[in-house]
Amino acid sequence: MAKIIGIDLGTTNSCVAVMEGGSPKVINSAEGRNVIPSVVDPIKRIVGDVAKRQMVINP
Amino acid sequence: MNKKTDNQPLSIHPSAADDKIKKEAEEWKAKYLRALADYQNLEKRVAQMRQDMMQNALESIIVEFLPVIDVLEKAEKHINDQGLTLGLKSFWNVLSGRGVRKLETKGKRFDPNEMECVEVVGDGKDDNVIEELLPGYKLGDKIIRVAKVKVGKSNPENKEQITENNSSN
Repeated sequence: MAKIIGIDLGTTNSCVAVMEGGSPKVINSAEGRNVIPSVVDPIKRIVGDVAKRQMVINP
Repeated sequence: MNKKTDNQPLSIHPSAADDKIKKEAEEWKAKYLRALADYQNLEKRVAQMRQDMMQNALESIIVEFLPVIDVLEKAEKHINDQGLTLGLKSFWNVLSGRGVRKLETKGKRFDPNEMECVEVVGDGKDDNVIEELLPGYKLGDKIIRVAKVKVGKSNPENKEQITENNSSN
């Protein structure tokens, strides 16, 4: 069955939610956080907290 | 004259009402299968959630203890007290019994899944951990705190010197 997903792409953080039983439910990141840092490393293909942790090496 | 004889075949042409009933039955069957699948998924998810809840409760308690362990370990290094060492050891016995492990970082290649780089040091190998500022911990397979590390970066001047020496030879 088709699902409705909403994504808030913020400048600092992003958030993803799915409609369940008529109300939105936020999808947690692997680290268990509700919001994901809006950071992407396109070379290593990593996003969120993991990409943010190596920001000092690859500014 | 209207009386039917026994030899006459029965009419087997489905009427419009039969079609409607069949269609409705198919719709109900599809709905039933969907509801059953939803229920089975819900059962699985509830079981998973219960397990996750227990794990999260344990994790949140352990995470609160981590700064205390950091302080005790730093104190142990400076004070060098036998009682403190013994206490810390028994504390670690309890934690390791629950599946808590310290992440090994020093000398390893920087891995953003386990470590957070807080400073880049100009000497040393590229992307290798030079110093661990705050240890990271794992509970089972899940990382509950990433290690804060200093990462080395080879000095570009040294690199140039090496290449110059190689070219002159």
